[in-house]
Amino acid sequence: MPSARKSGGRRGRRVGASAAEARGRGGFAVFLVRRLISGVALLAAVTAATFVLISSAPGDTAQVLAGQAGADEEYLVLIRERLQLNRPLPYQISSYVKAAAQGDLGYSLVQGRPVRDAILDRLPASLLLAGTALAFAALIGVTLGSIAGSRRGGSVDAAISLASLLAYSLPVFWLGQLLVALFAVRLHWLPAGGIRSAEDPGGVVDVLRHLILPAGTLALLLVPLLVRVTRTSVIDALGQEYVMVARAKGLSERQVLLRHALPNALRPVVTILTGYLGLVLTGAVLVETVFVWPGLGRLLYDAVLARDTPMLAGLLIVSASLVVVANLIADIIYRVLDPRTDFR
Amino acid sequence: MSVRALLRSRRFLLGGLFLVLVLAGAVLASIIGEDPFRPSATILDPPSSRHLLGTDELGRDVLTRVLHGAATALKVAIPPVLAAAILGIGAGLSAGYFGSLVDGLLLKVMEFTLVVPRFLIALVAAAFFGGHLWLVGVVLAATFWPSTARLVRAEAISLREREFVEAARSLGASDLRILARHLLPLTLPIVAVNTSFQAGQAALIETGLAFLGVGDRNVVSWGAMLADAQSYLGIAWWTSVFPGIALGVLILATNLLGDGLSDSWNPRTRRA
Repeated sequence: MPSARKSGGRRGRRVGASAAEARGRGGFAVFLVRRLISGVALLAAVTAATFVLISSAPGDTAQVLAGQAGADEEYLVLIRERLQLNRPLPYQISSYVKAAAQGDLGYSLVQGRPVRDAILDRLPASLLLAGTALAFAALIGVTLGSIAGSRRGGSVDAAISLASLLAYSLPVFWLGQLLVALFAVRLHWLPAGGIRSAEDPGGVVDVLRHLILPAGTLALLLVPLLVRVTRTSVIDALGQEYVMVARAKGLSERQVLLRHALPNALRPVVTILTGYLGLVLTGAVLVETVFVWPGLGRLLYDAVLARDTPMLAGLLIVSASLVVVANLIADIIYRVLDPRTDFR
Repeated sequence: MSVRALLRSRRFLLGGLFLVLVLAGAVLASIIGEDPFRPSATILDPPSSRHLLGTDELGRDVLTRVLHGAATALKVAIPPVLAAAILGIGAGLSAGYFGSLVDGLLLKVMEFTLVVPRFLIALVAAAFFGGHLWLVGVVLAATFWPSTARLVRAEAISLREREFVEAARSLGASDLRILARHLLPLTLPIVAVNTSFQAGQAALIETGLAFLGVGDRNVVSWGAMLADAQSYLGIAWWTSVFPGIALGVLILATNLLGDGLSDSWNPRTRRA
């Protein structure tokens, strides 16, 4: 975990910058490479653990990997050979990890095609859903959180805090259900599920209409979290000395908030947003199931129901990779937000 | 954190009230002894004096099922989270206090559990081994303790060099005594906050698994009720609304308890 050393406002950052910044940039590159290496090592460990999980499931590992679709003997022999299943466990693990590193996540007999292809097919829809939800949630969450934080203790703060507490307690799949019942079943304003309508498929407007409910539901899951974190963070920032300086030189409260307090309060917001980017898959599985959205979450759901082992294992590994990538993005954004961030 | 400050916290009291409500529901379910799986001829019957919350698509009484669902949710929400708290305290204290090898090992484990989402592990485990309630509990305990350990570790690191620890040591107190008598009590508030939020998450995971159809089929789950209700949203709102409210109340209870605990303990977040 990177440790950040923050002591003042971002306005002070130009003081004596050049030499230190040059050194810092080299340090940052080294830091990123180190994080990348440890991320890859972590992924190898996750992949190995996934295989151990599969091989500890009841029954012959080759059978488990072939899934319930019923494989012929020839295919089982092929799996055993490729993953060295007749050799001791460490060999099995290392050949599984090697295969995964080369992008070979096995073959789904249920889907009748390589796991990798199935996942790549679904990725765009998942990213569209998650990206839209994250953007909306960030906009609404940070705005409401800053308002609440800058009016701490007032009635606006109380109202926002109460609303976010209630929203935070709503189970996401139930919320989705209620929205479907209201906007699709009763009012017929929006489609109940899917990504395109059968009668008139294809148009951007059509996809957007299908996107509103699932993205809104997913965003509502994140907004309360962002409100709480932004509020605390803004309160914290407003108590710092550089804010007192900014006020003393006559800036309006609005300028103080937008130019001084908020940029410094964004770090935990970035942590949450990138955290959820890494959870695109699992964060969305319930929402995608309710709204029949053809993304990775839905793929996961179908794989669970069909006991499609190679698909489940592949999704586990891909999900862990997304988390590692998201963490790297977070590190880069921390650095942009505050160049003095000290990574060790 | 004083008990008096806690009792002054409206959030804590309200959360406690809601939790007691859910607990009472679970107790009531076993007292009444009505079979939550017994079907009847009156299917999708709206709330009436005979069935206070109506019946579902198999004619089962929704009220009975909501009460039994409370027992299921609590079984997953409370014991695994307490187990994780104990494990986390033990691991966090020893890592923070002794440092070096234990600490390095703990950091690796924590990193690992942060990379693979808990819900995904529970889902895959349920798919492979069947979604028995105890299995879900084990997965939750195994994935919740590292976050507790991390918080306790940070506390222990900042406390171990303080004067009162130094004083205890110079009086000849053993490491074990210092840990148990001096450090442990000071880490409990932060553990309590974390644990109560985790209880809510645990209930969400149990109901989420059941909603996806991989939960324990031998017990009634609010999640499974909501999944069944999905097909009848237009004609039988009560099959979705009541289990949903019940789950919402439980989550709200754990969030309020967590907020109340953290308010009365941490002056920085204390409400004006």
